[in-house]
Amino acid sequence: MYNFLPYELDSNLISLLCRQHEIQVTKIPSSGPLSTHNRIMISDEVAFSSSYHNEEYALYRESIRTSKVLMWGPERAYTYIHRYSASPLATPQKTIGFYSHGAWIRQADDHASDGLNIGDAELNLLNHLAVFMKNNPGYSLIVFPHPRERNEKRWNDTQDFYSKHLHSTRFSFAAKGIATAHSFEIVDIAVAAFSTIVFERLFCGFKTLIGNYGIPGFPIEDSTLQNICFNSLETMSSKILSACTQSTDEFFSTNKISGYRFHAYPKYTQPIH
Amino acid sequence: MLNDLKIVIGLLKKILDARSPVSGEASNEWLVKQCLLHNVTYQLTAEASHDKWIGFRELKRTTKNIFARKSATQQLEQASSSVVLGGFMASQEVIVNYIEFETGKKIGWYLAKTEWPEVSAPGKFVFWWKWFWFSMPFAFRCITEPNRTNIALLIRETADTALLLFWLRKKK
Repeated sequence: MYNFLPYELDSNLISLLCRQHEIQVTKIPSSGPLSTHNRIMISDEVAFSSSYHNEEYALYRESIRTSKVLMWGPERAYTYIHRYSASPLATPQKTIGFYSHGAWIRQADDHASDGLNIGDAELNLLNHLAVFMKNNPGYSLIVFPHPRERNEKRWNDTQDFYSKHLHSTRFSFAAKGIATAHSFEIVDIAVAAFSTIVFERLFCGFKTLIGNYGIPGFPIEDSTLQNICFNSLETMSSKILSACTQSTDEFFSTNKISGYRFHAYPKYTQPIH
Repeated sequence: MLNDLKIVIGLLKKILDARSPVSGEASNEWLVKQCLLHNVTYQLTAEASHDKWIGFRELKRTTKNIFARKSATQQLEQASSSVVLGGFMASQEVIVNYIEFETGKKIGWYLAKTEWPEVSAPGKFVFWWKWFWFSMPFAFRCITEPNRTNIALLIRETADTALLLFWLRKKK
């Protein structure tokens, strides 16, 4: 059995029952950090889909009980990797993309809190982006809304939200109808507070920075992911300005995150039909 | 089906009785207990954590599900014995294609856990009766305990898991 819901409360209960009845279980957590919902996993096999999962596995080895670890690509990567794997796509210089997790809309919809403070993190990040854009007028900013924010009924609220939090910054929204993962080349550098799209973008080989404003336990201390995280206006600005002068290969090698790219996954380096 | 419910209830009792490790490695049961009682879940809204009657609402909701005539299982490939446990039927294609791409193997069945259970008609009432009396104390615990969302979900999970086990054993 392939369990695509390892984050559900009864997932490990199901694993124990399957074990009693000699049914092999493979768990497939999403590309986001395991620390959020998957730090306890009991399964015959676990399919990791981000290099960060390996770093977390070293930390949670006592509670991730499995006899085999598999390395898979992110969930939908097989549908879009061909766009990026054939030859590198050029990105326009001095373009920044904000990839939203839509935390404010989840709060408005009465979603249970995950304790990660992503709503606050996104607000901090937007405020800092507004200041950065004011100080660096040569840059342009594109907002990639979460599908929840794209909902027709919420679209006016979404526009108001970004106008309010980006103050008088010039920004545009990514075109409707094109999936974010199918348009990574639209911006040179992406910033996000916390979203699985971050790992998908890194997988496809595009410069990405993470605004980590007090998300507990993330990233792991001394992990390579820490090299692309920031938590203040100053660190964000310096990382954006530095990334802007680097080629993609330089960005990945100087930050020691080459293992996050699809090149590290044999299955994705062959043509996909 | 009744036997599967008995197995699940037996295991759940063992899990809920599991004690924190004094020294050495925690047992699997204790780890599962942490997930069941303390992990964050989005299966109920944030409001549920303040709703003292959420356990009784879950009893009612799951009762409806047990007696509903619905099914969210789909056979994809007769020759394959592998099963995918996913959330909704609508996500089936993306998930199955992904797993088939990564494993190079065909998937036999897809189960949409969020949309079932399907209880076969003959044993339905007895199944419900046994499940109801086992689950009732959880509903009362929800009145006073702070982690009432997780406790309320035990009510749903007991029935869902028993039906999943029944289904898996039937197809094995």
